[in-house]
Amino acid sequence: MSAKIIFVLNNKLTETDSNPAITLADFLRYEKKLPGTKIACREGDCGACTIISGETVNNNLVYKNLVSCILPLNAAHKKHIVTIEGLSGDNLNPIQEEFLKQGATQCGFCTPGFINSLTSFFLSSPVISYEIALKYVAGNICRCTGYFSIKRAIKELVNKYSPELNNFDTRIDDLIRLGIIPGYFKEIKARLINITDTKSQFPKDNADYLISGGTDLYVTGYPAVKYGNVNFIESTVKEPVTETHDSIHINASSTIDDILTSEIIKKYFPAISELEIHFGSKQIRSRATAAGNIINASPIGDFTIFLLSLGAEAVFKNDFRKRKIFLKDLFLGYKKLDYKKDEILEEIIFRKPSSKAFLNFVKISRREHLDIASVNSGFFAEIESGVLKRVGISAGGVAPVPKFLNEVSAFLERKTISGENIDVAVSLAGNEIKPITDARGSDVYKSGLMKKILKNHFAKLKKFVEKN
Amino acid sequence: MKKIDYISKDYDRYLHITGKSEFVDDMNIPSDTMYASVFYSSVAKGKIKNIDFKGADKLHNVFIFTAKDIPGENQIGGIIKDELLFAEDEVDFVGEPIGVLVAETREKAEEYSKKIEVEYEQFEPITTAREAFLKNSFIMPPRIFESGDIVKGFKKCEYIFEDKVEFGGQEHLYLETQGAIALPLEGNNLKIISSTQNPTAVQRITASILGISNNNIEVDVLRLGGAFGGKEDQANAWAVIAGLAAYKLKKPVKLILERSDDIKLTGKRHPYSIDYRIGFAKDYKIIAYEVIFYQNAGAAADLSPAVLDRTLFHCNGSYFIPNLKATGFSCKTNLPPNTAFRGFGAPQGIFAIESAIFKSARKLGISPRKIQEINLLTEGKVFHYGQVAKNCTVKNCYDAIARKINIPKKEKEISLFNTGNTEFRKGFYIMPLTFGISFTNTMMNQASALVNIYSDGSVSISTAAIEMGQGVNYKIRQVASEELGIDIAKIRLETTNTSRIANTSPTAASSGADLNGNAARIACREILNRISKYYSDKQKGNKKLKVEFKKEQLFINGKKQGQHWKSAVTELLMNRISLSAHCNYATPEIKFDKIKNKGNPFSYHTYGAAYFEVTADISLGTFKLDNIVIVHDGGKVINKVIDIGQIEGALAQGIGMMTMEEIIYDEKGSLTTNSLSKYKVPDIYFMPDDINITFYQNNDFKSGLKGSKAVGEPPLIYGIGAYFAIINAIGFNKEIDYTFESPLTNERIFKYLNRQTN
Repeated sequence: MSAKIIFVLNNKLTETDSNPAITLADFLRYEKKLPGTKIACREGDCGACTIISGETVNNNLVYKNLVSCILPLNAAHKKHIVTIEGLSGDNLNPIQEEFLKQGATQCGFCTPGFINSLTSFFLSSPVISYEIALKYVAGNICRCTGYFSIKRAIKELVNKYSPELNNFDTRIDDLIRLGIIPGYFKEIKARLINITDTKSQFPKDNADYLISGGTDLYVTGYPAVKYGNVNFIESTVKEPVTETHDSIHINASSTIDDILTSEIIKKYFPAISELEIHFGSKQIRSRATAAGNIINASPIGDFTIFLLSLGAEAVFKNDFRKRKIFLKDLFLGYKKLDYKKDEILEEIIFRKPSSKAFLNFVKISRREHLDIASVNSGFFAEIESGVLKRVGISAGGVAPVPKFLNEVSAFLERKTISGENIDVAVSLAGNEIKPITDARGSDVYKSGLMKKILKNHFAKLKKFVEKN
Repeated sequence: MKKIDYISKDYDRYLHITGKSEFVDDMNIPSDTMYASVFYSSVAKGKIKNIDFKGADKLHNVFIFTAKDIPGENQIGGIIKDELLFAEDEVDFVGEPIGVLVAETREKAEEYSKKIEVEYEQFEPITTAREAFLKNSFIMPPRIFESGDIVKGFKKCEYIFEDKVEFGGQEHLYLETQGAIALPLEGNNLKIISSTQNPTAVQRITASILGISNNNIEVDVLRLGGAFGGKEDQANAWAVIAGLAAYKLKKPVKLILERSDDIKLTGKRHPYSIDYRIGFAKDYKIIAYEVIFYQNAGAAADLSPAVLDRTLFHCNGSYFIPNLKATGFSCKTNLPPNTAFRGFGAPQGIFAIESAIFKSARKLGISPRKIQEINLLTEGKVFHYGQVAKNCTVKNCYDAIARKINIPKKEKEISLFNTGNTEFRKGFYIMPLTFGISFTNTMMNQASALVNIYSDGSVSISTAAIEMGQGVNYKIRQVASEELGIDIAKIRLETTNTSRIANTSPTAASSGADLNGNAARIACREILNRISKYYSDKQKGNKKLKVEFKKEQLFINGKKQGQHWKSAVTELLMNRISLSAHCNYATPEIKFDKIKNKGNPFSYHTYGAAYFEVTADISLGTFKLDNIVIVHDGGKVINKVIDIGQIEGALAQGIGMMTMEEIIYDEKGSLTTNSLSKYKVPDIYFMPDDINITFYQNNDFKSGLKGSKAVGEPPLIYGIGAYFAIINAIGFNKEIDYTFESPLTNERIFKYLNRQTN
């Protein structure tokens, strides 16, 4: 069996024997001599290396924008990888033309990333609106323009093209007709389907690294990763979220983006579309997986904190058995989990919220978006005649682990929202947390913030109760 | 048609949006190029006891160079010769280069150099300016600017307030990291391609490190992926190191800093500690202001002396202060040498006076606006350094903003929103801007340009200007096109190259377009004069004819001659008229006495005003920018898209500087905020959608480039207004008894809000 990675790079079928664990950005720049993909931070935090990745899912060609500086080359297999070179023909396309007109490029280093993210927006967003377009470019940092000219360009583009792009089924044809993407996109789906899967799976034994999305490992563990024995778990998820009569199941290898935008999640947690943009960036959400977020066990993992408050359970399996464990019991110490090396996190399950369920997620960070929290916290409860049930309060950044506030949650069970109860809850929380001083803030700040966040949960809860 | 139009009209930007623009790391290089990786000190102060190369020094095709391998002088200091290229016995900051490792691939170079272990005898480092001050650790003697009589001034004051201010540093975060390629040429010669704002410095220092002449070194710069001052002095080391290795190995050497190194190894905007005392007359006129600046220079001078001078020049902000004494201490600490950064010391000086005014107003129970309005500079007032304010429009801009906003109405609206609101509070602030244009070192205010007209009528221009996103190439082409009367498409801006343009000033101090644009105009005129003489001589009898081209057609004394530019060029060359010119421009009427600290250091001032409105969450301690309105005096703006872009970009960087961008060093002098995941800059959501920028119509202004004003740095100052808008929101109807510190991070807002409880 060959270990070749085969994919369509812009308009060209590409095969490579290169180490699948190197980053796609390095491969594109230094092996394929496509320097339009820029590397500026090597941690997925600036978006200069953004590329577009297309794949066939359920016989549909689905595109997303990804940051290639923390993307293993392996992830390109059977994909359509589009770089700025693949979007630039003899004439400027309308996105490029608008960027030029508005002066939305200055030094030029971030520009290919922005254009790729915007093109990805046109390729993959059923609804063409300014607000959604912003989600796609929010992972792209520009140090020159202050974003104003970029925003003007986006507004112009959305105004001009949204009437032409209301049928998502014919999107690729429409985009070709409008000149936003080149004509060769028409053949891509067929070309991808024709790639035969010759790639061998890596040996499962003795793997130094188990890589799912890799959005954390490639930040903290590169370049060591590329010299190691790597086991890739590339997601082939068809249904990221499913429901049974009483519970919701999240396929652990689905991406955060697929989960948060799934119809089931949106149905039960309508507020999610506002929360979504607080989890990484579109590029990160489209690659990071639920499993990665949980197993990485970062004390401030946003998605883990969110799941913790819902009382979620993790389902692990190995060759012999499956086992369930509450997320709140999974984390034993800093990056220490109750899980064995031969186990794979298969799914995450939580009970369906009742129609009277309240969910609030607060994240305070230096920067509101695409940042790591100083403190984040989830609050879940169901309210029956003014009494709280199934209370789950989680907090990140206040302990060595993503923390479930056991005492506070237990105390509030079957309580009303009285000032007195709130005071007790806030003071109980003080005993349960032990933040440290680091780049995200001092211990004093984080403790103080935790109290205020709890009060914020209660204030929103009160409003919710009054409304219902 | 469209394609050709765009390529020619905006060449750099066309290349950017198609991904075709090249930066140092993108260029095609010879296949035998070696890769360099710098190894550096991991302690802030210590003696080197031993270096363990971990066997790398014995590997085939791996080379290591340290201080002892430098053939010339181990020295890269500019203003003061106090900085070694490679540490010798002692190290003075974390990140101080000790040597370079060169290998056949970038991966190997990085891998081996990271393995090198250096053993130190460690000493207690100094990390703050005040600590350095107490320990008498200075870069140079103090600088004092004085006007009026400070002692008598304070005696006349009705109200006197004093406090301190802390100003935090800022990381440049140019997206393209530092880098260079050095190519050995025949003999002792070297060509260096560098991402630098200052090719002449790279040339000069490489020559002296190698012990050869400046004319052995050619430095070439295509463009920079952002710089903001961070590549004025701090691009030198990396280019010089690549040059040293290439010179030694007689092979091309490439050195690109990874971000994780770039952010650690390079200096930043200077943190300052400031003490001030301010005195007012009964009518709130500022009578006296005494201020002491403690600049955290880091471990070597770099550009700190010049930065400190600009702090002293701008310490009056936009206000007239008759009795002023400003003292600046450049304090030597064990941090990477801090350096130029857009604004160049001005923000620190301006933040101090604005803080003094704001705090005094709050103590007096009046609006800061009252003090601002009474004291804003007006025509003919004299700056503390002796220059007279001319064509002074700061009050015009300030008043225009106040009218636009309708301040009384806005105050009512905000008071209504705030009163009783326990969740959110709004605040606003108007920030005036006065910024002196010119290098304060007078000799640097010159530039040259080389204009070549080729036989097909196409034109090539070389200047000292570096294109780094600010659009200087386009502006130069624009003025040359107007001067020559030909299509801009015919004009190409060459790379900046020390062999074509010698002894360049760095592209800095917002002066790139002013200096180089004017040099290019003079060179164009020089050629036009020759053309004039040719046609005058040709039509005998007429001594002096007015010869010009309009839309590429020849006009003599206003009469169209029916001759096209191209045919004229052919005729001129046939008649042995030189169509090349190399000319110099020096800014007129500037001089400064560095002993008395008096004179006319600035060619002119850029003025303006900005309004900020914010909403703060007073429980969680966060804020949102709601609205920004700017009235900016850009003179007679020659390129609106470029200038608006500069205003918006500087604004974002200024707001970042004052709010989320926080540099933290630990007590050991090691950078805590050492990556993009820890050091945050404004993103697309942070910047408001709502912005309104208008240019103040200033038709009386005649200097600058064709009456346009320099725009690179000044709008950064507006960002300071965001700070006070937030303070106004969180401190609504509250006593402000805390010392102002920047940046105003969410943590700091939280601290200010919860002072009593914490």
